[in-house]
Amino acid sequence: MASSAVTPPRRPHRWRRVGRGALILPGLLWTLAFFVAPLALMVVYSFGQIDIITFKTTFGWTLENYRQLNNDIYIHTIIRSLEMSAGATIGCLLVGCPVAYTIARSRGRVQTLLLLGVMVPFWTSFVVRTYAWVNLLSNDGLVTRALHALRLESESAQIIYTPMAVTIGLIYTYLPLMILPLYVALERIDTQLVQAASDLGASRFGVFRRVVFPLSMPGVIVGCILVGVPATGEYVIPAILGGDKTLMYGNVVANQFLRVGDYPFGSALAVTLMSLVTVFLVATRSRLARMEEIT
Amino acid sequence: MRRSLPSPTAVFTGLVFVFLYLPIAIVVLNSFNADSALIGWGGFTGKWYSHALSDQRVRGDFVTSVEVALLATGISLVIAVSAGLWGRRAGPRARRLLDASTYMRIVLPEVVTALALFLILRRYDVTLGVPTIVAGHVVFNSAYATLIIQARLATMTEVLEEAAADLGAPPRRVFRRVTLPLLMPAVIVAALLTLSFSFDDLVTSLFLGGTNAETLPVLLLGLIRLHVTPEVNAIASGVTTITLVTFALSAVVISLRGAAGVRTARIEPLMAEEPA
Amino acid sequence: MNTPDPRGDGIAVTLEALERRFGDFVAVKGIHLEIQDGEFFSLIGPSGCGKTTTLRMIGGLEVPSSGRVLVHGRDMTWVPAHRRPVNTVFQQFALFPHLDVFENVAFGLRERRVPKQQLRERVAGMLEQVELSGRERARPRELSGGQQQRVALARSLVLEPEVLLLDEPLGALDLKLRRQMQAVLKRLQRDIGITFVYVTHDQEEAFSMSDRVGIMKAGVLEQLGNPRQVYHRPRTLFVADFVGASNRFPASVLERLPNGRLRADMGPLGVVEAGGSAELQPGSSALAIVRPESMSPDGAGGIGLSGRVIDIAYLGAQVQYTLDAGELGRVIALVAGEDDAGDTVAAREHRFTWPAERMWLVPA
Repeated sequence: MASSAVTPPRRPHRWRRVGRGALILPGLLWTLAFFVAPLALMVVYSFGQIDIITFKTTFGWTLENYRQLNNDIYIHTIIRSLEMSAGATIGCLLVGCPVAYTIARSRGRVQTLLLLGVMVPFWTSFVVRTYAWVNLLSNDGLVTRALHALRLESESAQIIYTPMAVTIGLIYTYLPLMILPLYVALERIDTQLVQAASDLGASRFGVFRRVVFPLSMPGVIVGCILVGVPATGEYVIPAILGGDKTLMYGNVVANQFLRVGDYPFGSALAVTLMSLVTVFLVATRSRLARMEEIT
Repeated sequence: MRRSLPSPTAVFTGLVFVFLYLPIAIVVLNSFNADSALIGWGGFTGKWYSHALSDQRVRGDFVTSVEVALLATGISLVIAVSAGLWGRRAGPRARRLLDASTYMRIVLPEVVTALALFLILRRYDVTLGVPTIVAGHVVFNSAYATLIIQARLATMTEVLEEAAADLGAPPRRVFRRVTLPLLMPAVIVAALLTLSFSFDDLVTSLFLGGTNAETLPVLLLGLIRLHVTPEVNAIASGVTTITLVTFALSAVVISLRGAAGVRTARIEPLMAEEPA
Repeated sequence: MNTPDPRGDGIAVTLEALERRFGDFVAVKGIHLEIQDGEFFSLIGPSGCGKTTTLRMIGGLEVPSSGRVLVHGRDMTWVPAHRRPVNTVFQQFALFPHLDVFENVAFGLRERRVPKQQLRERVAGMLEQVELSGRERARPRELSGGQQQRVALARSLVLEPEVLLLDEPLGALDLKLRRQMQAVLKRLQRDIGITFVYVTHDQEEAFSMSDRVGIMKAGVLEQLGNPRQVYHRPRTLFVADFVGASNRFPASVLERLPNGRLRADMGPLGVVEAGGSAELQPGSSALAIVRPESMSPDGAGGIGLSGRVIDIAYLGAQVQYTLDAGELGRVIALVAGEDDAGDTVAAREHRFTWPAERMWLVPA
């Protein structure tokens, strides 16, 4: 056994742990200050009351703001928002499925080009893409004229500033977010399964219905989440394409803060949206995890 | 199997692509359209661009947009790298908290997070301007950047950093000489991405800019609502080009570097020894 | 190049009661070990036995839960890796992919702020020793596995560590290359004279290069000794099996003789006198280990058994016979290959014998 000539240095345990912990500080502080605290304050505000005359807010614990939500106008707006976002989601699904299928079927260079092609519009400026539709859907815009010509819409019907315009804008903006997860899911389906199914006697539609569709479900769900969730809280698209007539939830909430100044009520609206989103995500997360396991 | 006619799904896909690109094409085309009423094609002109470029407000807003983007990117990268490095060694519960925080920052509608920030800033009477916009941008940008950095870190085994320490480098030097250089591709991609997101952002910039700070997208929104058309196309095309180029650059970086840097750190059994 | 030995007592590495726990799991239990200066020492054992963990504790990449690590008498237990005079060659080579060969080898020297001229000379000298001169500007990914291995070696050796740790460095290479590299490593170690501590699961590899080996199982050091000792005088059945193939026959220890040997009753094989593990007491059950190569088919003498030959495998230099020896079970014998005139043993009953000196008893 050796005896040491030098006193051994102390355990540096505590120092090391502190140093390592410090790494999370920038992120932690920023998130607390500019994300958690504001949201928490919003929740508190949602239980407060505003004095219309002095614009001073008193903090009680009242459910008045939430009760106000029950008002017809707001319920109507919420429902319409959900309708439009659901419509956009379905629209994206219908349009996106064939495209995803085509991409999954193609190979090599063509496939890469197609994928890039889908992504590039997504990379162009957001405001630009939405604004372009103002032109196209305005009363003498190309698309409006085309729809009139095809008799899909009556001559006098205006498309711009209607829910339809907003829905088209939503579909246009979020389409890539639906196509990509669909493509990924389709790509993952083993072609041998498809072959086995037809070998066992299934028709083309049968193969789709019983093999392809169920196995691509995770992709469908991811796509619907990626489209549906942000769409519900959209602000820009209804602002530009809906004018001041078609408002979605996001616009109503923003108005309360920026124009009306009723912070408590606005907070209640925002908190409701936040809760809906959170609940929905938590609910689908476990379903999604289980599905991923199966496929 | 070649068919003489393309399949219906292929045709449909083609139509969808037209659908995707038509609006952008029209904006770009119209930005060169001499006809200010934009009814037909009035001839090729660059005057909308020169109008836009000579407009003080446009120039000022461009500078503001760039300022905001650069600041937001810088701060977001610092947060992303430090959080990513911390998350690597953190316990499972801590890691789950980090992941949840990152996820929530991306998934919650921007309207909600921006308005909440607006609320707290107004409550404490903070003047709105570039700093407040940056604060809001960093919240979601740092989340995207964190994801990118974490993805890269996951492919970097710790053995390289152990080797550096074994060869005598203290922790700070290990970071500077090994970790950071290996992380660089991800840092560049994250930077380009956050620059794009910031430059293009509307909701947060609108709500948190107040009267002092106006970014280009906010200006565009106002112009669109006022129906001041011809220059808008030019500005819009300009903004689009910038964001498009930045995204394209990041795609190039991703495909170039890929995982090339890390592969040799793992085992590569080779069949025969080359003559030394 | 001689390694500095501050204390002058010739012990490069001392491990005292070294332990490493991960929660409830004890990876390394109470290891006591002294590694001599200038020796090529190997730690071998099956996967998960704790040999790599032990190595990492010597290198400073892991902190022991208890116990001490001393290098040339200096307590290094709490000294961080970057300040230990010990360097490691990693299994995956761990070459820095963003640096070329020169910069990889120069890495540690740059940390020490070695002046430019000296640095260049030392790197060049080292590259020459590992036969990689001329590849300074190459990137790791352009090199073959063997070349990467040599860069990793050069990178560590250029720092003139007091001890070099090698963690299964040849695991990624194919067989022929591995043999070549084993020779290179052994030669290098002899030339340079630095103490090597080598970890591997390949017993043959360790035996071919090492002065001494330590065999580990489940965190415990089972036996320590030079290859010959360990092979012919294993302390336990595990060691016996790990270092080579073995036939085993049940035996009951009757007494320990004054000359140190044991007398044991081996049932059908009779009562024998043979060497055995020091732990065996009169009355213990034991197993007699007989290596296949100790068995000869010509019935010359000693202890013997008869069995029905059920398989003959011509291995080239040797012929392997598998016998069914009835209640003694299956027996394997390895006999020097004969010319192609045929075997002396055909597929029928045959008697194989071995001398008692070639038998060794271990606890059952």
